[in-house]
Amino acid sequence: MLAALAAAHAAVLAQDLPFPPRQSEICVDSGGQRIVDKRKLARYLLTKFPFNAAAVPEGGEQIYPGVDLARRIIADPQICQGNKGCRKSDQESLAAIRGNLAVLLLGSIPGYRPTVTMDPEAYILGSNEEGAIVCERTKAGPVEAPGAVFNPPPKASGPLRVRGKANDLYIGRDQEKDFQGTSQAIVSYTVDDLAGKDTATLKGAIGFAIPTDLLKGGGQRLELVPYVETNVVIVEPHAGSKAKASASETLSTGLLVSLFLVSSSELGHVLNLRPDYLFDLVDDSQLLTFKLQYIPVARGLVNDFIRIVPGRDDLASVKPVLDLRVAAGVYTETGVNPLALEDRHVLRLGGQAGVVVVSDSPYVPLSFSASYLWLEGLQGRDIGYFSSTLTWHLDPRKYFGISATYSRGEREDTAKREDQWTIGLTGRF
Amino acid sequence: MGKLLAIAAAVTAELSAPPGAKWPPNNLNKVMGADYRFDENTLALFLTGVSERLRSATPAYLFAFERDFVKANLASSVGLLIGNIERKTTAAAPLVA
Repeated sequence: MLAALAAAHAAVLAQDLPFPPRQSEICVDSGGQRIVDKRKLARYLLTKFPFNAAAVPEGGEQIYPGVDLARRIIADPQICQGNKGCRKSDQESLAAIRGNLAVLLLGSIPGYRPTVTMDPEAYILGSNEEGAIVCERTKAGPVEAPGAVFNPPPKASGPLRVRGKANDLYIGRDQEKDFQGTSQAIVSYTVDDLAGKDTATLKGAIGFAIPTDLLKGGGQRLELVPYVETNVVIVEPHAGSKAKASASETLSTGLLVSLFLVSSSELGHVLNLRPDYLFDLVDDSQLLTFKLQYIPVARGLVNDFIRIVPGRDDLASVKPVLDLRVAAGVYTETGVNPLALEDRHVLRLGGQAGVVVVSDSPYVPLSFSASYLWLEGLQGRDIGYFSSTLTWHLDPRKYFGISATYSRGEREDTAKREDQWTIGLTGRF
Repeated sequence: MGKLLAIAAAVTAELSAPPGAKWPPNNLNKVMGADYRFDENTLALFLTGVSERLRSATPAYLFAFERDFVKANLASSVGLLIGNIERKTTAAAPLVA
């Protein structure tokens, strides 16, 4: 048991090794300059990306006489083909070794200068001087490659999704930076003795993502997310207070159908179709709507993260957000809802523009988002809704945080006006 | 240039292509999702770019991928992504001896 734990710990530490490492780890003197030592390079790669030695076929010594085991593993790209001893982790290690070595041989990594262009299998078998990679130095010392520590990403997947709004349910947890910019569910209870009121808030949407086999090619997708969303804000005045009692209680359910289509390597399209049935528990109205949302994804321009300072990956990134929306609906029950009594039908057209800023520094786990939604009421009231949120994340996966949110305008779902400050513990999953 | 080097060249070219270039700094240890801010949508566009570069390379290579490949490689470092692409890439025309 202890041995297994030690082995697992060693594997994690090995993954944390950077590639390429500091020059002192793999470079040797040769003819008045420093060049990469192929044995050291091979050993280092196999420490970082372990390969099961038992999976190495017999007879390799005859094919590659005088070549050590580590280099023989790297030299044979077919080593896992038809090899039952080669597990998935071995195949991944081999892929990572070959990919990393190829970039080094291309001359794309500062500090390492190949003298000729050579395929990895040919390079690794020869002497250090054949197709040598020069380890560059300045007067100050070796030119070390970028990348101090490799941080394995958190594995985050699963079909259950919790967000602040149903509109954000199409973004999965494994899309980490986008996930960081999604709305968060909030539960809070505020006692305000100065204003003389207590406020209870519960806002959020929970969905279950069901992937389909349609549109799989080229990274495209069609996903279904049935969901339930609630928005409850209850204000209770203290005895003798001048504060007014108010309540907003809605519950809605629906199905989000999300498509992603690829036009070119620069442009993709997200289409979200969402039939939604909303119960307004305060005025007993019920609203059935069909919502269509179009989100253009243009690399490096819109709905994609862009570094605030190009060339620096440790400061912050910004994502310009833009989408177009259309919503058509009918109040199936008007209750005492004045908007429903005025006009049972709803047809709105518009979109949302905004910005998401996320910190790329692990020491400053902040994110900020601001957006303005405008929907022209071809039937029913116009919608104008501003919302901004600043969050300090409490965990590395950005599931929980402390958020300050200001929102003002007509809500997209009910068209009722709100003007709110909320500070509280927020979460998404 | 062999298949693996052609793939490495295509991937590094895409990483360096404006707008929104991720390289420099040319860091092989960065992870496509967590570090380079790719999501499922933008990584699919990125891989489409790699596929187009390989198709127009000399010799040409065919790289076809599906959604599962995109999702799996959000957690890949640059080096692992290149190795994974190699496993799904074939020569566009049969090699003649």
